Amino acid sequence: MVQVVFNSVGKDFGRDAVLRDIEFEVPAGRFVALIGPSGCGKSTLLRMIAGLEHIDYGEIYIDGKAVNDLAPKDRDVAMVFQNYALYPHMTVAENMLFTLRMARRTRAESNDRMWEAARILGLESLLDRYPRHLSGGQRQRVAMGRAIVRNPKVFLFDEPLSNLDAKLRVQMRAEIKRLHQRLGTTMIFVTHDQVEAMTMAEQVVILREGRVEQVGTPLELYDRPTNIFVAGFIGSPTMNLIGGTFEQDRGRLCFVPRNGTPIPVPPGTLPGASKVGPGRECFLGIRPEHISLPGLDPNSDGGGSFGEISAEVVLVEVTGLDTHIVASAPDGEITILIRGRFDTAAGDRLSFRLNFSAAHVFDAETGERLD
Amino acid sequence: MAFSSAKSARRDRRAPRLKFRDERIFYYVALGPTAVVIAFVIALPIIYTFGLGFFVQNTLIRTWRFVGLSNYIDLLTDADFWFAFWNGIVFTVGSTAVATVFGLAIAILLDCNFRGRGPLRALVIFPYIVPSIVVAFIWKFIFSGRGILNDFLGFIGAQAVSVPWLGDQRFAMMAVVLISAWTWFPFAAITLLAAIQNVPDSIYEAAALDGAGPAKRFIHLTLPLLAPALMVVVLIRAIWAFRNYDMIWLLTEGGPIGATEVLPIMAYKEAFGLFRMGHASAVSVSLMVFVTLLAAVHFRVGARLRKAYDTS
Repeated sequence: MVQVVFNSVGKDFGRDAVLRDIEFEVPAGRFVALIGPSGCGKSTLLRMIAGLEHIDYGEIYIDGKAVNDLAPKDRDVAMVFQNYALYPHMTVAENMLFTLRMARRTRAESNDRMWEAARILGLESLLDRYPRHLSGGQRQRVAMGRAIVRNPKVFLFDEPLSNLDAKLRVQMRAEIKRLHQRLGTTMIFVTHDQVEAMTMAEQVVILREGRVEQVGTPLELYDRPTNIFVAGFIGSPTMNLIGGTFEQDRGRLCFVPRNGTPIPVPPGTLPGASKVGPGRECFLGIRPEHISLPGLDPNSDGGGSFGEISAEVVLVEVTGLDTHIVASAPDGEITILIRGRFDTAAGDRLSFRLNFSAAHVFDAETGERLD
Repeated sequence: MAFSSAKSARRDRRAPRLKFRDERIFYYVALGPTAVVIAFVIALPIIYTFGLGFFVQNTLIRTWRFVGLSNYIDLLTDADFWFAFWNGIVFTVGSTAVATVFGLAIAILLDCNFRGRGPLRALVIFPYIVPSIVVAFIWKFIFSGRGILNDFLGFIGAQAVSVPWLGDQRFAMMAVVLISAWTWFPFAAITLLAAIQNVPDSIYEAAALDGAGPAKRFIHLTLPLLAPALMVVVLIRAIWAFRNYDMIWLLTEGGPIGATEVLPIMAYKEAFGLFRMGHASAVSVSLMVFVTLLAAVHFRVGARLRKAYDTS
């Protein structure tokens, strides 16, 4: 069953179009992340679902019903705001009971629901505190509690983790995901942090400048980005994009980086390469973990799907778990991710193997994926 | 080396002390003249007024006679004093209530997004910046027997209720209250508007999603969240209203037949009409006691409310 449908949704702020032709569907019970850089319109889209922003074009359907003309309270959605938006003059319990009071529920039922939410979120001991006496994480939980007590059709989260410190963010990430598994309610989550989107969501919608760039599962987006923007946005460290052309050299297809020597493309890899005419500018996209050092990576020895380049190490970053090497390639710098430790230093010249079977080709002009 | 470093450490320790002494001298020099001026302009007159209350003194014949508390005893048994006190309460409560309610309404209106909000906001300040004398003349003209208000009443066929509003014992206080509220409502409006705009929009949006319509949002959010600002507006206004002299004097001089006579006007009349300085001082001192009590309430309640409704 489909819970939320966007049908050619658009919005203007003054003369500027902030959202154009938004079309996607959110299946019932799914956890969806809306992600994109600042100003891409993701929060506006969320607020349009909630009824806090007018829908200028198209329709939004919730549970099969067009909600364009419905007031926020009649849409049966609950929202957790970035700054939590708790009522400062009410205790935690009163904050959660407010919506039930507005809905004229009986006192007994309201209290039952409030206690249930408090139990789920571990708020029992905080019920008579005021928001100003709570830590960021506790406020965050109260904001979720306020949403839970209503038992809405859709939960909306507007960058709820951005005000928390790094450690708490990881903890709340897991908590929200557990909450989703427990309640099974449709959740739409706005974030600019791709790690949050990748780790929490079952479906990710990437927006840029008011348009949907790609909709898919986190791994679909990671493995088959539809364009350069998605390729660069998802993944950390970001995908290496090497500009160049594909040429035939003595009967073999080669990738020729700008200002570089040709790298033979093993047959059967890079299906997109055949679509690129000789001399046409394109980008070879390759993720840092798909570049390896010969002999180091056990996977890199099998098969013949590798191209080799030699480059000088510019910078080494050690995370403890991985080693990131930044090296100067013919066309700018490339990042290489080595699992585990690797002893090297700036100035070393190393030979790297590019795993062409995991690489992508993008048109330089349109930025679209070619294959 | 060790010696020299110990020496330099000692020098370091001494340096701030010297500096501190310099600063103290600087503070005395800088604040001294102001302190002296304040002592002469504020403290001395207050002490003098307190003292004067224990004497019978006539400015015309310049006699001083110590009478102890008898000025105060006279006052407390004087029906005119209690009448003026009561008038002060009516004027204070009336003008504060009208100015605050009207100011709140205007603040809410100015918080809405509509065309012409900027000019309207500037216009709202107008009554507050017009000098009292001008306000008094404008409204005297409006409220007079043949003024605009009565013309209007005649126009709509209600001649029967047209009276010289400021000259009628029954209506004078009401008219004075309204005019005074008119001069004060901009302060309430601007202060409350600032407080309204201080409340994050997301709180109202959360309430809208929680099912609260505009009326419920006003009752459950706006009013409680404005409580600290409302308390400031009400108490400051109450303090100013209770000691108000100029507007009432300009409009009615306390008349007709004492209908709008409040304590400051009584003090003025005692001092410069009847030349009974001792009595006038006793009235002034009692006025000061009431106002100080109001100010004490203001600080206590204000501090408690600010703590309770901290939105951070």
